[in-house]
Amino acid sequence: MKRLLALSLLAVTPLMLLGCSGESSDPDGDAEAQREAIHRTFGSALTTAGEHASKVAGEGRWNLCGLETQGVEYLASATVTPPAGTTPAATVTAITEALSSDGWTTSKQKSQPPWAQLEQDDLLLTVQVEKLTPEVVTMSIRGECITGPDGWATSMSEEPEPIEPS
Amino acid sequence: MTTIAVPASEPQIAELLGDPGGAEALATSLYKAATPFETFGERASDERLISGWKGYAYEAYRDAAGSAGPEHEAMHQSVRRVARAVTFYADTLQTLKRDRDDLRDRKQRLDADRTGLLADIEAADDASASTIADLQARARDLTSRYRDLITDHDSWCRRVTDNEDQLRQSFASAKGLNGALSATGGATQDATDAMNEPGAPGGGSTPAEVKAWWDGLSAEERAAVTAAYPETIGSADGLPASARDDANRILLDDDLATLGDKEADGTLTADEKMQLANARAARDGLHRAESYVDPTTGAKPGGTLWLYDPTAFDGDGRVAVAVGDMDTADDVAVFTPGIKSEMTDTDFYTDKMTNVYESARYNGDGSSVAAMFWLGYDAPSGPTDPATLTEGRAEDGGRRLSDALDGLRASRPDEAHLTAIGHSYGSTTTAYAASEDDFAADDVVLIGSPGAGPAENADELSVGSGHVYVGRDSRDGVAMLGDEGWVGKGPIGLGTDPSSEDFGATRFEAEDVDRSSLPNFGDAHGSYLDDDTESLYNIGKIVDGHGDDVEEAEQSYDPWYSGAVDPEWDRDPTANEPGRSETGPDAT
Repeated sequence: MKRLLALSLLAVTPLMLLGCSGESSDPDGDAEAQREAIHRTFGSALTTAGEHASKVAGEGRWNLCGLETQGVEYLASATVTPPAGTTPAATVTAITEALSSDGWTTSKQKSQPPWAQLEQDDLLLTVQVEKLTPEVVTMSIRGECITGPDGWATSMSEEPEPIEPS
Repeated sequence: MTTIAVPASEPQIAELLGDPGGAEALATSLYKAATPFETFGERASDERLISGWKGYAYEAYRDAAGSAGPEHEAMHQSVRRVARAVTFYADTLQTLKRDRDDLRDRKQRLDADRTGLLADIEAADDASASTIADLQARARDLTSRYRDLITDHDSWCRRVTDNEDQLRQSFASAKGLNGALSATGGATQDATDAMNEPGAPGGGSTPAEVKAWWDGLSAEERAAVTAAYPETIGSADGLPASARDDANRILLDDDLATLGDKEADGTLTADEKMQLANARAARDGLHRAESYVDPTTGAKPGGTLWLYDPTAFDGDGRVAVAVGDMDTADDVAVFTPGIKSEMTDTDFYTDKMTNVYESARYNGDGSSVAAMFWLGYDAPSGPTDPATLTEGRAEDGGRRLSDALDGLRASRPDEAHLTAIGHSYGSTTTAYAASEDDFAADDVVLIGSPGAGPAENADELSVGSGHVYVGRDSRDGVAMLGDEGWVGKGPIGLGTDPSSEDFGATRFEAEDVDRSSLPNFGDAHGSYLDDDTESLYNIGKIVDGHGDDVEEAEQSYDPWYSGAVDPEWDRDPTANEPGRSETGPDAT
């Protein structure tokens, strides 16, 4: 049985190696679709967050991912300033509850440090108070890694672009 | 009467003459001017013999062409050495300008303190004994700080003079026909003398001997050898990273100018095209390293071009780019990539080094960090390259990696914490290096490993099993190739699976949220250094010198009665979770 397993793995390996790149056949199309989806979803989440904040500033950019096979993922993030008299921790709770009512599923939550993760349409949204900026709340979403031909990933602009609440 | 000795406001910060931009433009012109000598020399050599032409005139032509080739090649090298000297002069001038600004700022702060002290003394009629003692203490402190400034200013003035002298001597050594045709045209006497001293690199000296040689040179001699022999200095194991960086930047500037010019006029050969692509990738990687901002301090830790050899390995190239200060960082990581890695990937992998740096800093203990992408071996070109299925390149690469780390260790006067990280085929390379008795790293990290090469268990690596760490995503198809259990997997892997209990290393959590439900070679094999992953979090801990704090994962095992079992298969991965997979700030 063990030998059979080893032999079958041996047979499958060249096939896996040949097709190992997992490279997208249309990386530009996939990338644009991911960017649009995240802008739409994150923009909507920022609108919800804005009801519990005095200021919301969001942005998105391409981030390099992968190793032997190089790719990019779209990373959206935002800084949320709590309303006067409200702590960042309370703001994390308020935003998490509001997003839950908005169709997001809370998958994980911690109180120390204040942190929550919510899911919707295969996207993972993090709401938290980060240690370097404890006076504000941050929100972020990261897309899946999209791989392309050599040089494609590093040709994608890593300059941030604004994401407005929508 | 009480006397308070207020120091004079000195020194007068000297002006710095010269424009780095103008010097760089001159260097570019010289690189361009060197190329026609090379072209003519090659043509004269190629066309020295002409069939069908005989007689005295032909003999005279043949003799003239025979000497014209070497003469023009010598002139090409002389002009090139002068151009490199000008590049070095320009780089140094830029540094001197920055240092002058620092001196000026310090002087302004001292003068402001001095003015305040004089005002307080003026206002201190009938002052108490304690007030007078306080004023005297401030005056003594000010005197000491002015003295330090004078010392530093004197040192700066000497560096300015040395920089100008070196360039002047380089011009002088290439002056006239004899100078230009000499084998050392453009190299100063200081440089040639220093390179003939015992311990100089390039003659079989050990890294420790090279370090001792460098320590024995004056600042003027160091500048001279860097400008005249950048190929030797840039790859000399044992030299400080800053010295290698200075030399390699000269070579990079030379290639960008010379080959860029050839590209513009359409005379670039196929080999030179690869060389130029490699040079541009190194430039982009270096720029990425220099632009990176440490989020914990808001400062730029800087970049280093530690190795630059764009024609090595049939044009694949050799390169190493670091984020952070390799000469002073408390914690230094050296990353060896796997198959497909070429010098054109430098920019991409430098980005990964910023991730490693950031993770170590963000979750670290405050110690300083440097992370270097090292491609100093000939990595197999892809999954279909037969070299991928054998350990020959890993064995050769292991020796090279071990030499590089020896050099790194020898270059430092202190005991920096050194971590060697290898991914995929690079992990096998790292295991070969670590199997040498005197391997210089303190900790070894193997990620996505197809096998640990010569080591059947972690104890066979010289760092000891307590310092061998392994990251393996349960869906990583490459990491499944290593041997485990009593049957093994035949010739498909590259040794023992280091994540298995047979091997006995510390396995850390390394599952990726996008790992997929089936084994694959995509996210599961390529996400180990991605932001906000379990793997990068744990690697940051190890690099920071806190391997004991990794989030451990249960090793895989292979019972006799069934197939291999990976306990991580059923665990839900985390991403961006504080204390587990958060590796940096989300918003800046």
